[in-house]
Amino acid sequence: MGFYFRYTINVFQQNSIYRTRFILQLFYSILNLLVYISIWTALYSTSKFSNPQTLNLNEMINYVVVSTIISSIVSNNIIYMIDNKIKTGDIAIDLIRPIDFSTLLLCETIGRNLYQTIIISVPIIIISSFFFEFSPPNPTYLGLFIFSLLLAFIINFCLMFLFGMLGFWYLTIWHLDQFLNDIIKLFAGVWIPLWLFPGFLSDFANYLPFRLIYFSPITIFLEKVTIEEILFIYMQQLITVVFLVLLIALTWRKGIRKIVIQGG
Amino acid sequence: MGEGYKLNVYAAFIKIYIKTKLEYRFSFFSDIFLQIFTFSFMYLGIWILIDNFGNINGWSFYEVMFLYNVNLFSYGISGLLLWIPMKQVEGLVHNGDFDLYMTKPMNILLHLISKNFTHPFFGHIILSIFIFILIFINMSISLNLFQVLMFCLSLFGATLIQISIMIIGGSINFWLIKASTFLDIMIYGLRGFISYPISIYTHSIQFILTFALPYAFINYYPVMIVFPEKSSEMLFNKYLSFGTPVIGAIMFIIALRIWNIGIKNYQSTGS
Repeated sequence: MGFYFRYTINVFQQNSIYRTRFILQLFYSILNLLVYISIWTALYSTSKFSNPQTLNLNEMINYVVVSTIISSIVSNNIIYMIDNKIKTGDIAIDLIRPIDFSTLLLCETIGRNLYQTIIISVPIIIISSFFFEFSPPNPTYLGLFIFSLLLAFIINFCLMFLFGMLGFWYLTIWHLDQFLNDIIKLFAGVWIPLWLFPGFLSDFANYLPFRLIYFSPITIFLEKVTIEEILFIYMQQLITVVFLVLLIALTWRKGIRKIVIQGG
Repeated sequence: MGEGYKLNVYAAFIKIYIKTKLEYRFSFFSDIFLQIFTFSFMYLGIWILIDNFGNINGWSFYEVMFLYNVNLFSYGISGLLLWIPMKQVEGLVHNGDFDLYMTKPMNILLHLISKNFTHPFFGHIILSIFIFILIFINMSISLNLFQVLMFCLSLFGATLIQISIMIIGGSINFWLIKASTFLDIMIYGLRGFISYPISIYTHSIQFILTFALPYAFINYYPVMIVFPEKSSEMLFNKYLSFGTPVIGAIMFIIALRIWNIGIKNYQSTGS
């Protein structure tokens, strides 16, 4: 346990070397947020919008701000990392080490994301509270939100790990990352709340696990769900985690026999 | 060596590239299909929004789709030629392999793009052509000859702008270490602004997108040629809609300049 903790701290420090990269990413997040806010402002100002769960413009802006924050906390580059490990053959070294590969990957992700969270989320929160009237919910809901966010982090980790393992069969998977990100962007409700989806698409989004990463935690943050509904969200998140972990274990056992080690 | 010779070399390289990729036929085609899927989700998102709100700043679903599609098409062509080569520059400079290109009797940029052809971008091109057809079937757009010629010229100009953006993004690596995030921002971050009509932004952002970082010339201004009735919202000056070919040419010259200065600036790191 002590080893994994130290490893995580190491990764955290290692990431601080690439400060410029994260600062560029912060810049990117701010640009993105600005685009979303402009689009929603334009949409709200032009039309005859009516929806049962209507958010007003201010709530909608809070929605995309929270979503940007969640993104900086949960998003990882596991697919890219595994792709790279397979391409360079480094995966062989990881496999003969006397430590569990998935735990190592988890530590690496936690270390990196801690750094990412500090350098991206904090400025976003400050900027948004000054310019976009961003405000947190009451403390109870904030606590409930943070717990669901932790589960969201784990779900996202498992999903990316699972898809990353496709590389054992498929060799190059870098563009799978983009594909997955774009699916998540739409069906997790990253910037369009799932309430706005027409019938069949909303059903489809409900069957997918992605909404548990963004949409569900955001609804908690915006206090749009009751305590019972929150408990139901937790339950869905937990079941998804268990299901994904089982799937990972299964895929790992099959994939490890398939893997082609490159380089020497 | 004439230009014809260079094109022959390029054709020969591409033929070999496609041949090697087709060895993994499944991989080759699924790469392309993944891209088509990915961008279909973008259009689905636009549809959901406009389905709820009716329009965005007076732009209907097909109009926004047309706007987005001009961007996708020009991005597809420039990506096909330049995406992997420009992404590679970071690594080549970092480990010194760029020397290899410096010592060959061939234009460096041309050599770099000949060796790699980013085939997944066929997906962008196929999808955007399909969407153009879909729009023309559904929208009954009537254009005169001048509009058609001007629009085609603008598509060419838009592609030149996209190409220039990628070359500049790749050139940054000659000055900064590990700068591929910079390319991502130039392509994905700033391009995010032109997915929707730029008339939704504040005046200062419109100004920047027109005069400082001329992304708006990729799609917003050329699309005005096809939808003249939108000219009431025309920003700054109505003649800007004819500006794309000129801006494209200027950007391209600037991009090549920056690339060449970058190469002069390159100091080998490897051994």
